[in-house]
Amino acid sequence: MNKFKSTLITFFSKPIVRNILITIALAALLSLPLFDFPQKNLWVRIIGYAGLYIILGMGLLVHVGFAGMFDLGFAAFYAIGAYTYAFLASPHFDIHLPFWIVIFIAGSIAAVVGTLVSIPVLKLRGDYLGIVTLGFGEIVRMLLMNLTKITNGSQGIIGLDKPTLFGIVFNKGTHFYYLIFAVIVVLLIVLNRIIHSRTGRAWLAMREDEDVAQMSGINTSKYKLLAFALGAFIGGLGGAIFAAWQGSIFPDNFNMNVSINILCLIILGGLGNQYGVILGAMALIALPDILRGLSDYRMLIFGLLLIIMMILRPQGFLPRKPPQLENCDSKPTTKQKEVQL
Amino acid sequence: MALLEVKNIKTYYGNICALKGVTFEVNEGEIVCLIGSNGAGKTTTLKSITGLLHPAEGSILFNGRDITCMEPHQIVQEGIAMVPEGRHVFSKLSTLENLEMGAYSRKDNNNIQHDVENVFTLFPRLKERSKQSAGTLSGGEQQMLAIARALMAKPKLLLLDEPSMGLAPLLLESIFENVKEINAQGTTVLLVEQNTKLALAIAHRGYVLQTGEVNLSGKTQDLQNNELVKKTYLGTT
Repeated sequence: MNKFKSTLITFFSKPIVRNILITIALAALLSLPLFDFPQKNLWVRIIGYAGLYIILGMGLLVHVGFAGMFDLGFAAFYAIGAYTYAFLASPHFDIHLPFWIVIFIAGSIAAVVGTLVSIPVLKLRGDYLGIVTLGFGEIVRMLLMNLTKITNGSQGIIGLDKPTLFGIVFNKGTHFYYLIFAVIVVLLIVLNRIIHSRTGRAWLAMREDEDVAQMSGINTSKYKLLAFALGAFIGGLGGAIFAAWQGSIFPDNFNMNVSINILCLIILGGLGNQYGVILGAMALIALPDILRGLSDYRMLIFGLLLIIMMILRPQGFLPRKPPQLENCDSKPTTKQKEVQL
Repeated sequence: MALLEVKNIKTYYGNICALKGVTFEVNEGEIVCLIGSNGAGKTTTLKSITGLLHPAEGSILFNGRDITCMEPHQIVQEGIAMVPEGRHVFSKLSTLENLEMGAYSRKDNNNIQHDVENVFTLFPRLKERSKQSAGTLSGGEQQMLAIARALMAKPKLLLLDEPSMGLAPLLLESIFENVKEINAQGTTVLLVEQNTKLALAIAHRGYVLQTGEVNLSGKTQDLQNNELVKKTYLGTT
């Protein structure tokens, strides 16, 4: 049994096998909406929704996984992004800016708010930061609920504009499916570049040992702010996409459950790995819908699966690989070669 | 002019006054040791110099520049590197990656590889372990790595906080030999140490701290022969 397991592991960890599997999965996901099958719209919606959570997961990953800052209020940035879209592209204030501009405004506003919130809490570490962000998340939701003159309170904002691209109006799930797919690909590339940059190394050092990071000459305040702003930006982006897709938003779309879910999915996926986020979101967001056939027992089974998963694989699906810095592949230097000769 | 001049600094933890006016100086090329018992303020002094703590009063001059109010990362760039107490290494990174992290503040990327070779000649054990993750190194090797990482920043002044802590006596002597060699290669060293005997053996001058004040100072020979130092720190009468 163990032998079988180990051969299975070596088989799947071969790069070629992995690449083939990834290509198949990508092709399947890309072509899914092109085929006709029963309940197609439902499936496109479920996977698209999981995709939205992948985007949010990547934002939170920057906070928690990359910079090591515990964040329990990520839904706040999601909400800020969504309401920014609702204010700037709906009959609510009768402003109709194009989607492609508003998503960047939404991300930027979320980033600015994220930076402002993180300035006073820069010195906090661990659990304390968690409490502050938890409070922040609730404050934002309460404001959305009670500033009725601006946000329309619990009535929400409805009739949001649909994005258009080259004359195509995004009015079907499929359109958003591909939009989200594209955003995820871009985010993966960007995050990959960042973690292998100077900034990524600074985050890594900070997460491992903040004091030593400072003593190695890293401006930890700067990199903390940067991480908070970038994560919040991605959260805001996700919020705007959500708002445009849904067409109507309510304060309760952004309650604490959302924050907890996002945190769960990045832990499930393997904290600190941007590919793990994908698996985590698929499992956490899509699974409850896949299990819908079990009706009442659905959440029971789902919770049980989560517990079993965390016992069997506490490091998550795809744990963080130790980073390899550029000079690390030590090709034998000429000196060493001489010795070998 | 001294390389480092600490003038009457007072540092507080909240309301508690940990340094009640500490004054000393370190000249270029010296090894200076700060000795004293637990709670005397040795580590606090180092943290005040590196900017991890800010003194409420007094000033610290390095190379003639006032660094009292600078942030830690700026002070590293001025040329002060610290080896923290208790061997803080980035345990999940390899030995080599730890060294490269030490060179984070440097702009001259081309010389880094050369300096890695340099610290490997100083600590041959680290070369053998260069691909191993730092958390799996032995205590002595981690201490070597912490010192080597600080050297990668090319400091003019190296601060060592209790390098002897938790090391086997045999390793201790080799680490102190290393410190002497680092000094001989041109790095000024400020050493904080509880192992007074060893510290006085390699240092040129020493300061004795007691409850936040400098009590005694002088050449190491004089301190070694001082009755008070003998009685309190060396344990001989």
